Amino acid sequence: MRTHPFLLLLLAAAPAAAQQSDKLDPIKAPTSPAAYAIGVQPSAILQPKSYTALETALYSNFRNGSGGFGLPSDFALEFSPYWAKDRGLSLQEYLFAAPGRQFTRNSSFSIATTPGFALSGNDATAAVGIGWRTSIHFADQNDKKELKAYADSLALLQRLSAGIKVYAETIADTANNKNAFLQLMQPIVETRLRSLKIANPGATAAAMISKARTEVTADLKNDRDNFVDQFYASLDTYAGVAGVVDRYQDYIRNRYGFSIDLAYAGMVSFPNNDFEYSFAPKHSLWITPSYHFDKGARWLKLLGVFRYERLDRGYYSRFFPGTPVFTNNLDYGIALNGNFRKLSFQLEGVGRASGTEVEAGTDANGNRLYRKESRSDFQYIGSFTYRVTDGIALTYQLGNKFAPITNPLQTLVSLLSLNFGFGGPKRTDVKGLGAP
Amino acid sequence: MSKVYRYRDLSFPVNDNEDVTLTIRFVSSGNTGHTVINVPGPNDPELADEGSVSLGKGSALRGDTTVSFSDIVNLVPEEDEIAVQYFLNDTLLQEHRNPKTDADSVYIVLFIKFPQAL
Repeated sequence: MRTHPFLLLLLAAAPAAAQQSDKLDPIKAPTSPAAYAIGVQPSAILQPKSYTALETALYSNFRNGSGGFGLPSDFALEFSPYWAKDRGLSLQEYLFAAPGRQFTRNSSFSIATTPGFALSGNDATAAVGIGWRTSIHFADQNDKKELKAYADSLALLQRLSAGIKVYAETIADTANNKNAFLQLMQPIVETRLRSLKIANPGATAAAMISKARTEVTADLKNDRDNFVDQFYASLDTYAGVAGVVDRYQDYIRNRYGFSIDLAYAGMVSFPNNDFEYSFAPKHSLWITPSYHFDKGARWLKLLGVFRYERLDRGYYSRFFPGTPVFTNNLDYGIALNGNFRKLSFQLEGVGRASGTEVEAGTDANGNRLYRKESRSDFQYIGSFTYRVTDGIALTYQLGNKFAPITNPLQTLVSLLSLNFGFGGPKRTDVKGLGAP
Repeated sequence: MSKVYRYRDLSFPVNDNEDVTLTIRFVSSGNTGHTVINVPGPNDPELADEGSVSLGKGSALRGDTTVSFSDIVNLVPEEDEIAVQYFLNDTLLQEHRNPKTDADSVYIVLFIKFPQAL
């Protein structure tokens, strides 16, 4: 039996993966900056969409069993004030807003709490993380063309849909049975297809009605609405409506062109669990520009990252003695993401420059003297993912990570992982009249 | 799959010579849609997205039920509901609201009678 070299590489990597337990920092700004600040990984982030829901979420989570108030465990919440009320924006206003408006609209504020923030003595103390993030997209010509293609496709499908179904509602009240209903509907479908200049209207209408004849099983007289709903579902699957809507929604989430994400996170620590004795020892700021290539290289995305982190050395030397901490830390890097059908990759390189001023005694006049300590490091990692099926992905990471504080020489990353997920049908399975 | 919301037994009294205008207003952000109104007789009006459309004189709308059918999709990730208002001659006839967790693609069907105004 011949063994594939790639498989050998994966098998060789597996023992190293077992030794590798440090979590790799993602290059992008975190989804919940507040949770990042205090190092919790909540299973879910509450995202109330109205002020009433926000009040309910805060009240129900901060109220403890004894009727008082306390910090909930591994709690994370994100709230976008702009979207808390009806704005009535048209899709065009939403998609092509000026950068200043996007800054406001996309701003979200997050809070995360834990009563179990462990200091070096393993004392569980209270900590609160606060965060903010926003994103701005700069639409270019290719982005506008792509959006127009999707909009035109969806508009055509909606004109077809409404122009047929409005008559189905009336005919369903007069026809005696399925055959009579479908017989009356076929010329209506054909007329609508013809008026929208869709090719072969006669044959297409016959095919749509034939499909409905098979798929509609409800009884028209006794279960009228269910009958009509089944008829609509049959027409929609023929036209591939769900596929167009899904692709349009996906594109809006991941548009061509240049985007920039901004985020801030800060931590407030209560080492004695006393509200009046607190520190704000950690502040982080992200600037993450990205460029999603279009047309010829639509599978490619380029990401940059700048993360500045300021740490309070006094706090860390007091509560985490022996841990080397620098006041100013700057991470800067670049990543390239690619997707080829079942295979995807990410190549990233991130540099880190850290510096701090340390008190070094006094001069002859009693003035304090400082010396500057600095350190730099570099991380480069390649991730390769093969999607075995829609729900199973095999990922291998190889590279060199930042020197860990505990074992500075162990920088090799060789991590093999198998991820299971649950997804819907493949979008490419659905092809229809309006596909752009 | 789109979810169907039907509002039956809607009524809007009008005089014979009164012009009737249907106005659709998208309350939530990022809706896109198309509406066709099946009025008694030929020349059924249509409306892309939101706005106003004439349904004709009150006398022409008697008898048969007028059916308005809207195919609406909400495409904005930050929006959590579909909210649409239907007005007849600036009077709110029906407001539709559904959370997007129920459906982000909906059909809204109105069945409207136009009796003689007293």
